[in-house]
Amino acid sequence: MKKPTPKSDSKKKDDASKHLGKVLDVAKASMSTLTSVADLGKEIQRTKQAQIRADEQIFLAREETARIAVRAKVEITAILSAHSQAEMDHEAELKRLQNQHANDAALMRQRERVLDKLLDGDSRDNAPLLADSLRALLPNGNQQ
Amino acid sequence: MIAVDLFADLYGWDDQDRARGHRAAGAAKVLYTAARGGAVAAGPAIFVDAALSVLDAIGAYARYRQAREITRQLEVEGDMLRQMLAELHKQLRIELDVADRVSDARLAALRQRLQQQSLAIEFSETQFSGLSRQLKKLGQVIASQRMTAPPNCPTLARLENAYYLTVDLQLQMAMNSVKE
Repeated sequence: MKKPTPKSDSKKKDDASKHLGKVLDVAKASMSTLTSVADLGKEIQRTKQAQIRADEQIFLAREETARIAVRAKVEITAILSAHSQAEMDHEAELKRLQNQHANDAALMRQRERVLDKLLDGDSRDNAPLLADSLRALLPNGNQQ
Repeated sequence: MIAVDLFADLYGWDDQDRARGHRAAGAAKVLYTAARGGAVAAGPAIFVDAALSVLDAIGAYARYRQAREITRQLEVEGDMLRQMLAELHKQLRIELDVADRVSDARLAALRQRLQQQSLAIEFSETQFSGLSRQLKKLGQVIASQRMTAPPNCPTLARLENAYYLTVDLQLQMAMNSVKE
């Protein structure tokens, strides 16, 4: 039986090594592709989660806006009511001051008249009566 | 392959591009061999290279889709931030409106208070000058009474009492004006 030449053996070894390299390349490429596809799946999930999270945040922000709007409406109503009440109180206070001033002015005029009479020398006999009247026209005058 | 490496070094290819270059050179070599010696001479290598290219194409497409997904995530994030900013703007406008109304109400209350104080001071001033005038007159009356009245005259005592009451009233008026 004829033995195979050494050159032919070396060529076969080279071919086998090349084929093994190719197989390894294919395996490596397959792994890389699978990893890329798996990463794509993860990214798609992340996109969905981001969308859900964004929708939730926007919903919460809108709810917060609505809540603030309702609270603002209540506050504005209270402010308007308080303003209206303050306006009425102000009018009442002005009226009270004017009435008080009118009363004080009337008392002042009456005291002026009494004093004018006291200064008038002709009414000297009525002086005690006028002095009492004067005291009566003064605040706390009756208590003395 | 050496030529491919030289090109890769020259143009700064990354590992992936370098591998693609090698594969393309290998495929060219196999095609050349097939052209010269027939499909049998090329062997299964051409199919392996084709499979590798297909896998590489799928991987590249997957990476492209990943990049698009990341872009989409960023767009979603950007849209969300834009909408939240718009909502915050609305909220601030509402709060500003309320603050404006509160400020207006406070200003109105202050204006009313000032008007009341101004009126009270004006009235007090009128009263004060009136009381001063009356005190002067009362002083004149007391002085004239003292000239003619007997000692312990009750009328004089009453007039003096009225004088002190008027002074008290005037002082009270002055204090009220200062307080206002």
